[in-house]
Amino acid sequence: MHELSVAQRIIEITQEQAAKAGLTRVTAIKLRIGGLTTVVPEALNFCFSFAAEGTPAAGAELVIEEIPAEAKCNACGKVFPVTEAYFLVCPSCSSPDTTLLRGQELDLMSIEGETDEDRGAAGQTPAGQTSAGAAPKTNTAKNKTIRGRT
Amino acid sequence: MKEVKVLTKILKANDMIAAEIRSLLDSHGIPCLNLMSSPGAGKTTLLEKTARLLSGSFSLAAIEGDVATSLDGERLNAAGIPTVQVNTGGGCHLDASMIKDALQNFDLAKTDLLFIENVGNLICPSSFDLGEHVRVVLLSLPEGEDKPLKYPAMFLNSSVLVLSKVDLAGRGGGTLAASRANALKVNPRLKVFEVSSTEGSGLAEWADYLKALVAQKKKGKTG
Repeated sequence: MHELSVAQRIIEITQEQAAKAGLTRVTAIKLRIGGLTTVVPEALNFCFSFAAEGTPAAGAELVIEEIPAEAKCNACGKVFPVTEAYFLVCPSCSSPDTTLLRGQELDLMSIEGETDEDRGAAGQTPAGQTSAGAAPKTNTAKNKTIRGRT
Repeated sequence: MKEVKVLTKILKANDMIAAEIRSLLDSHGIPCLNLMSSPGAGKTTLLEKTARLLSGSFSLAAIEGDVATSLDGERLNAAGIPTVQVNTGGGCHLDASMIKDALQNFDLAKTDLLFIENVGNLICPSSFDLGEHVRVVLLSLPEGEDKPLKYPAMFLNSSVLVLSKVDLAGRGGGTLAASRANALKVNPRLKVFEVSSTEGSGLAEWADYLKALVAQKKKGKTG
């Protein structure tokens, strides 16, 4: 369960950035996770939900963009998806001389939340208006062909 | 509602400590190998045998990671490798801060080669840079030849593969040829050693490789 370590780092970064930007409550955290990172979004969501308790990130939604792994063949130039069928060997010319382009991302892109001012303003608007910039739905792992977890 | 751009690597804190460790080791000319595998693939046994072959000519050191107990640390100490045992208490991998702390127990000026034996696990350790120079993955034949395909990240993120327990070929589990082929299919750049720690085959090549690493690092010493 290294997702717990990853969740804890996300919370640390979020706390630091939220404090800098004056956010008192974080509603969404946007992440980019590559297909070769062995971080499973469902497990990350689960770990995050309890690790965030008591922090400004509590209840925030993890908005995960999954990046499928892709490599480029240095011999013939073909860009190909890294899958179980051929991994880092070029499917076109069989060359093992390839470069991984994408798939190892584990990035925190942005955070979204409310400042005290937002909250004050929200208190004065009619009921139902407070959820106006609600975070988009969390992406739940659609594309995880080569994520390994037993 | 306000969106704040952050754009940072989530494991940046770990990566920074790892970079610090790597440059500390570089300044002493010490190569560091991070050994990873499933539990029971033969990491500790390989290190015990390595000690026999190298401890006459080099000062070895090891950091031993396990969820619990100091059993492996005791084995390595008994084999003549000064070892610091790190217990993760349930954690599935070592991280760079654990290595940084453990390094304070060694006299780096008198160390030639450092091994980190990671927690037995074919998944999580591959995500954490420990400041090592070489990532070594062990795959023992009895585990089955399908493992590189089922746990590709570990093989993709390593540069050396030790196929261990090759003396058990033909007794169930994977074949040597298929284990090797599957690992190379995932990562064609893997440098492969075929080793039997109990019978001794392949150990001389492994030891030669380590000697060359030490020589190369000493030459490039930055301190």
